[in-house]
Amino acid sequence: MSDGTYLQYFPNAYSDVLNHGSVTLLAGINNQYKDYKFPDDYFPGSNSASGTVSGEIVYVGFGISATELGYDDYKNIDVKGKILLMETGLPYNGNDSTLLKWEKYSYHRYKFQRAKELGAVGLLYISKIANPNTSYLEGFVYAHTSESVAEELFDGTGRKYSETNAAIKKNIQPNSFAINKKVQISASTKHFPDSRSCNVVGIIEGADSILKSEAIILGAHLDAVGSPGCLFPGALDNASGSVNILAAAKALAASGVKPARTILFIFFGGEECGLYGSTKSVESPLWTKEKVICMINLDMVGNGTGFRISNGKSFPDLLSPFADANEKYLHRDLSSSEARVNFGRPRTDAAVFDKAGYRTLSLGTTGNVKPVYYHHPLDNTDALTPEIMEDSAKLLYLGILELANNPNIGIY
Amino acid sequence: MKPKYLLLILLCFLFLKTYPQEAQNAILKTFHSISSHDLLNDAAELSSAKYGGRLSGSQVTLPPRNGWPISSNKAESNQP
Repeated sequence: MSDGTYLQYFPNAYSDVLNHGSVTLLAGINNQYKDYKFPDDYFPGSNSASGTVSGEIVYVGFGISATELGYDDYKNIDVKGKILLMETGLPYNGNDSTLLKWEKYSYHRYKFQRAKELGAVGLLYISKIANPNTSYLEGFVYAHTSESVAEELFDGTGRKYSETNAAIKKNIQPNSFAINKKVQISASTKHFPDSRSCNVVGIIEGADSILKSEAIILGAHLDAVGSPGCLFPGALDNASGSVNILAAAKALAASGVKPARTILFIFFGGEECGLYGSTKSVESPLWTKEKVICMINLDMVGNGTGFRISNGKSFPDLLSPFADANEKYLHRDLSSSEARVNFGRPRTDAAVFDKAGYRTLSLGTTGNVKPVYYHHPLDNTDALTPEIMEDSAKLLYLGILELANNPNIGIY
Repeated sequence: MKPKYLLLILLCFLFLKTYPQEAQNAILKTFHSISSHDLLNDAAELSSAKYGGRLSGSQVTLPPRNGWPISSNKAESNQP
């Protein structure tokens, strides 16, 4: 950095979740009292307000008011003082120009703000994964619940949750209704609106006096989802990608053959909160964009038997060093895909670089050996297969060394 | 051509001829130094309770480390 550090800062509001809170179905005409269990039935909201709210439950589908698209989950539904049961994502599932029109409605922050704007006091979000990429809204208490809890809440309504959800997506028609049950949600959090975080950057300067002006960026997000109710270790997502890069960096630094081009290692912060670190990196580039050969991203690279290099088929000059290294020394299955336009919201750090016009590759794995506990307390080191991590680091070392030293590889 | 120059050219030729193999050996030596044991240890460290699940965001200024200056970090940070 210009100040001589290796830390690139950016704003990063966040919340500490102080305990797992509670989600309770209150006794009613159609149901008995029930305390839902953490972590089996729900996770507390990573940016929930502190406090307790209770109220009638209203199912509001995807929680979207897109009047210009002829779609409004809130039409003729009163949600003031209510607790919403809401889907994540969009009713539209294609990846084409139509999705572009829906994209702004896919953000969790939009959905939360819309719900609060209409007077809802709380939310059960049907997606039992911890997720700090949400809004903290004063007085708005929420939790993530599983589909099985949603199905249970639908009992006695004459409808099935799974069928209702499927019908909304099939017809792209809202189907909101009052469930006629009451729920109570409690949360204990502390919000830090003025905080910041940083990317941690490493560099190996190129050994060639001319080629060193060109750089290869190797990135992985270092952050995870914190401790909402208990420790969510984030071993696969994304300690795995981070340590693979660290191992490759150590090897490249120690290598008897030095890379001719410069290699930048960026351990992104703020990925889980909303791709803050990678966004900072493309908005305040650490290297002249026109001199970057490519950006290679690693996210969840620690469970499997084979390699997958996304976008590799579109950039054969970038893919070839990795394919050759694998064929000669590692002998794993290696598949690759064409780059494709993403009309939806970016979901990875690579997508941020992609959108900014960089050539990107994403190294992933295929053939999961163990269950994947995505944003879950069981995402610990037992969920990793160290053999594929070793080979990923070896693949990076050999592939990047060749990319860095081959004079025939151009910028594009 | 004098014999000593001939010898020098010959030595250079031999060096160049053997360099790729030496380079390859050096690369493979480093390649084999990458171990799953180290990788798993590093992943266990990052996943340990002391990092609290590595949620991004901090209210505190990190202490100086290894001589890296931090005094001007604040100037670079865009305040929310």
